[in-house]
Amino acid sequence: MNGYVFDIRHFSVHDGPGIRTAVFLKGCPLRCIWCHNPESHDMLPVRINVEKGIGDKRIKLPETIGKLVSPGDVLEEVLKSRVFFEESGGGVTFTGGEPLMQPSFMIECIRLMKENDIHTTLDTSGYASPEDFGTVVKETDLVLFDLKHPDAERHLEFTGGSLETVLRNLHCDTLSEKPIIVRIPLVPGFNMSNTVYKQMAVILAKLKNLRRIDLLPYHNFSLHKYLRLGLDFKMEGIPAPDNKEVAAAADFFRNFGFIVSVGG
Amino acid sequence: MNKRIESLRDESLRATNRISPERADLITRFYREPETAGFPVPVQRGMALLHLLQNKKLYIGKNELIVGERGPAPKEVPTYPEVCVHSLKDLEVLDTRPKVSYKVDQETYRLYKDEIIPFWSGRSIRDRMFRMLPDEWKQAYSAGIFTEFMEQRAPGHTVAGEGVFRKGMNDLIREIDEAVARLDFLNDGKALSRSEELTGMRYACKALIVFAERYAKALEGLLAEEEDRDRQNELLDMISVCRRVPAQAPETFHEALQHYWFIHIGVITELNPWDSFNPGRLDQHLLPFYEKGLADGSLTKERAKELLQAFWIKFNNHPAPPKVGVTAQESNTYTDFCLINVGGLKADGTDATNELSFLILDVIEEMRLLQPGSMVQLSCKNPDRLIHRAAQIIKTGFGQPSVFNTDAIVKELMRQGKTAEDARRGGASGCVEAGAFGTEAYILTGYFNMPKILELTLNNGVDPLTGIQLGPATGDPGDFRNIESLISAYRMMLQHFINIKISGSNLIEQIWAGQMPAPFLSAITEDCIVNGTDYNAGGARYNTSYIQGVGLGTMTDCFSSIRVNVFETRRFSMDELLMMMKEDFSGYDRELAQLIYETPKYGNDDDAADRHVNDVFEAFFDAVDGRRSPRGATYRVEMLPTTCHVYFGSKVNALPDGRRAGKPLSEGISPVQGADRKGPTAVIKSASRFDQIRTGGTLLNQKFSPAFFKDDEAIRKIGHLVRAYFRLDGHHIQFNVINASTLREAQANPEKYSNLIVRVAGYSDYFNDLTPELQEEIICRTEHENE
Repeated sequence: MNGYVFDIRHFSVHDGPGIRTAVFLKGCPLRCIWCHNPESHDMLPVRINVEKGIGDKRIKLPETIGKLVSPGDVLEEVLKSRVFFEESGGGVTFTGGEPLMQPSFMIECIRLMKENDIHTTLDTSGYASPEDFGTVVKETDLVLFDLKHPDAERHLEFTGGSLETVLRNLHCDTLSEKPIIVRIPLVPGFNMSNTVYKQMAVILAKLKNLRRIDLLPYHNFSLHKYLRLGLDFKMEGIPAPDNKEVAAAADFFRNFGFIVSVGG
Repeated sequence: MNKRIESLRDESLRATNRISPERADLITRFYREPETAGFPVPVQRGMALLHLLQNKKLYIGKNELIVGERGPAPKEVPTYPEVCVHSLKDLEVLDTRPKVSYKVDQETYRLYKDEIIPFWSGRSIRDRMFRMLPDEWKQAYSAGIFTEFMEQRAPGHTVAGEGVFRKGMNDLIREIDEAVARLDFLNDGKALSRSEELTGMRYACKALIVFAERYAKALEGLLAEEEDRDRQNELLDMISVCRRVPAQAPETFHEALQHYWFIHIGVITELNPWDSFNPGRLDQHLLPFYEKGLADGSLTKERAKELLQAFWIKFNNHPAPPKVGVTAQESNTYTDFCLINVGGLKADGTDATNELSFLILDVIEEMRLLQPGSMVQLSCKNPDRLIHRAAQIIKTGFGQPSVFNTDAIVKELMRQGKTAEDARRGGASGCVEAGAFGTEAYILTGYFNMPKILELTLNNGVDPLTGIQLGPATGDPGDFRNIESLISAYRMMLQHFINIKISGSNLIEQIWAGQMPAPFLSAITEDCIVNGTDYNAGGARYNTSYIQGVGLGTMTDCFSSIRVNVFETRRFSMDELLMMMKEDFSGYDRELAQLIYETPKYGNDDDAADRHVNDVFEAFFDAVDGRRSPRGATYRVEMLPTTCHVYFGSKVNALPDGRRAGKPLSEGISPVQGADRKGPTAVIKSASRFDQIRTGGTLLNQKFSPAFFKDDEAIRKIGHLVRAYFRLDGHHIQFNVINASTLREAQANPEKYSNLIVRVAGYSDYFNDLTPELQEEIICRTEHENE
C-alpha cells in the first residue's frame, strides 16, 4: 500500500536517539493553531510556486508538496543514512502530519524497516482510533507522544481534536509496553502556566514507561510557509517564549521527578 | 594561561608583520664573496646556512622559555632572493595592500634597490625557471589552467619524523662521516656528487650547533644582568638546554621542544620550503620525555603545559614568507601551514592516544592561535573521548582542530608503496596532505583547474576569455551526442594539459635538484644521508609529486547539468546552453533558476548527480597517477584548493551548472556553495562516492551554526557524523562553527571582530584578512541549521 509523504529529511537529531531520518507523512486530523508544518494538513499533494533567488532577483518555480510513494521507496531513501544510524544508534522517525492517518502504510513501512534492522520511532499526536493506534504502536520501537493541553475544552478549541481520544491512547495497554517520550509544545497564551503543567504532571505520572519529557518551545519560523500556502497565520504577533519561561517550565517538571529536555 | 604566557601571546598577537632585509643582505654578501663560487652547489648551500646562523641577529623575548626566531624579532619575515627576488613594486604592494600586508621600511627599499635586485635579477631560481619553461606552459599558466608551487618557494611539504627527536646534530654528523667513508669511487658514478652533498649536510648540521651556542652565550649575557632570582634559575636552565641541543639528542621535555625549535628555524632559514616545517606527531614524540620527567620529578603537568604554550607562541611568531603574483592570489595568508597531529596509531598499529594528546588539546583550546594549525587523527581504534574532546574545541569556533581519518591515511600511503609502519608513523600536513613523516618528500607541484578544461572542451580548445586556441580541437560541442562523448573529449583535453603541467614540473624539479639543494632538510630526512642525495633530488626514502585537482563539485554539477538538461530532458540544446553561458545568463533568469534549482546537484546523496563525481575523479586520476618524475618520484592526485578555487574561478566564464563568470569554483571536495540542500549526511555520502584512498588527501568543509553544538549530546552526534564519514573512507573533515549573521556583522564592522578566526580550507585565518570574495564565499557555504 502506498502513502503520501511530503518530506524525508536526513540528519534529524531532535526526534529520537542518535542521527535519524525523519519521514514526514502528509495529512493531519488536527489543526493546532501554532502548527509548524501547515503543508502537512491535507493529505493530497499540492502544487505551489516557490520563489528562488537569482542574485538579487526572485524567480517563481513550481513545486509539488507531497508525493505518493511505496514503503519500498521510503526504505530506499532511509537506507541512504544507514551508516549514520549504525554509528550513532539512530534510525527512522515517522512524523507528519499525523502518521496514524495512514495506518496500513505505516505498518508496512515499519515492518520493512524492522526487516532491515532499522530502529523505528513514531511521532504522533495520539489523535487516532484505538485500533489504528494499537496496531501501529505494537510494531514500533519508540513512541514520541504529544500532550498539548490537559483541559478538554481548551484542547478542542486550539487543536480541533478531542482530548479524550488522545488520553485513551496514551493510557492504552499496547503503549504501556513501549518506551515513551512525551512532547509538550510550549505555546504562549495556550498552555504556559503552572496550573496546566501541574495537571499534565498528574496525567504523566501514571505512565510507567515514560523515559523523558521534551519541551518544544513554540517558534514562528514557519510564518513563510503559511504565506506560501496562502493560509491564515493565527499566531501572528505572538512571540516565541523567552528562555526564562522555558527554563521555569523545565524546572517545574523536574521538580516532579521527570527527566526533561528542552528542544528534544 | 599564566602571566608569562599571556604576555608572550599578547606580544605575538600585537607584533606587526614586517619584511626583514637581514637574510637577503647576508645571503647576498655570502654569494658575492669570490671564493663562494669555487665550491660545489650543495657545499655552497651548507656554508650559506652556516653564514646565516653565524651572523643573524638573535632575539630573546622577555621571560621567554623557548628561544630562536627566523627574523630579527617576532613576525619579521626574511626574504629568499636566491629563490625569488621581490621587485620594488612587489615590496610596495606588500607594504600597502589592505589585506595580509607586510610593512617595508626605507632601509629595506634602499637595500633592495641598490644591492639585492641588481645582484639576483636573472640569477634567482624563479628567473631561471621562467627563462626555460616553454611557451605552451606559460600560456596555460597565464590562462589559469594550473599554478606552480615551486616558482617562488622551495620544495618542502614535509614533516619531522621521530628520528628528529632521537638524534642530535653530532649523531647526524657521525652518520654523514660514515656515509662519506663508504663512498665507492670505483663502482659508483655518482660518488662525487654524493660526497659534495654530504659535505653540504655536514656544514648545515654544524651551522645549527653554532647557532645554539650563540644563544647560550646571549643567555649568559642576560644572566649577568638579571636580578630576579627565579628568572636567573630559568636562564641557567635555558643555557644548559642550548648547550646540549641540538648538538646532542634531547633528554628532557624542555630540551625536546627547544631541540625541535632550533631545527625548525634551521629548515625555514635554509630555504622557504612550502608548508614551513612541522613537528608532526607531537604527542608521540614528546611522550618519552614527558613520562621520564614526571617519573623523576623534574617535570610537572603544569610546567609541561607552560612549555607547550611557549612553543605554540613561537609558531605564531612566524608568518609565511610573503608571496607574489599568482601564488599570492592562490594562497594569500599569514598562515604557513604547520599542522600539529594528535592521536592516531603507533607504528605497531595500536591506539596512540595518550595523556599528552589531551594536554595538547587543552593547549590548542587555550592558546587559540592561528599558528600552529592543529588536527586530530582519528582511527577506528582511537577512543570516542578523543573525537569528543576535539568536538568540544571545534565548538568554540576558531576552526581547529580539523579531523583526519588515520585509517584512510594509512591505506593511502600503503597504496603508494610505504610499509605499514612508515605509513602509521605518518599523518597529514599542510592543508590535508598525507605523508610518511620523516621519510617522505611529498611535494605539491600546483593546483589544476578542472572546470577550465571543461570550458576549453566546450569551446573546441579556444579560451573564451582571450579567444586564443589554447588546447587541441577536441570536437564541436554541438556534435556531442551524449554525455559520454563529451567526457571522452574532456579527457583528451585534460591529458594534453596534464602533460604540459608535468613537463614543467619535471623541468622545475631538476632546476631545484641541481641549483638549489637543501642539505639541512636532507640531513634530517631519513635516507638522504645514506643515499648521499639531496631532499630536492630524490634522496628521501619515499618521493611523491602531487597535482591538486580543484573544482570537483563544480565539474560534477556541470556534467549532471549537461546530461540532464541537454541529453535527457532536452530542456536546452547544447547550442542554447552555450549561448546562455556566453551571455553569462543575463536575460535568462528563468533558465538560470532551472539550472540552479531544478538540476541534480552533487552534495545531496542523489545518484543523478553523484554518478559523475567518478567521471571527474577517474579522469583526473588516470591522467596523473603513476607518472614518474626525474628525481624518481611518482605523481599522485589530491583534491584540495587552499584558496585557489577563488583565483581559478576568476579565470573561468559562466559554466553549465549556472555558475556565473568569475565566481569561485567549488572548494575541495565540498559541493558547490549553496548546492547542498539535504544536510551534512547527504554531503558526506556524496563525498564518499569516489575512492578517496587513491588520493593523497581531500578536503571537506562543513559549516555549522553554534546552536547545533548546544549540549553534550549534540556534540556527540558530531562525533558520530565524523565516524560515519571515516567508515566510508573519508580523508578529512573540518567544521566552521559560526553563523552567517555573525559573519555579515563582521564584514560590516571589521573593527569589532578583529579576532574572528574561521576555517578557510585546511587552515584557519582571521576573517578580516580574507578578501571580500572569500568572505562572501565563506558566508555562502551552506549553513547546517537544525530546526
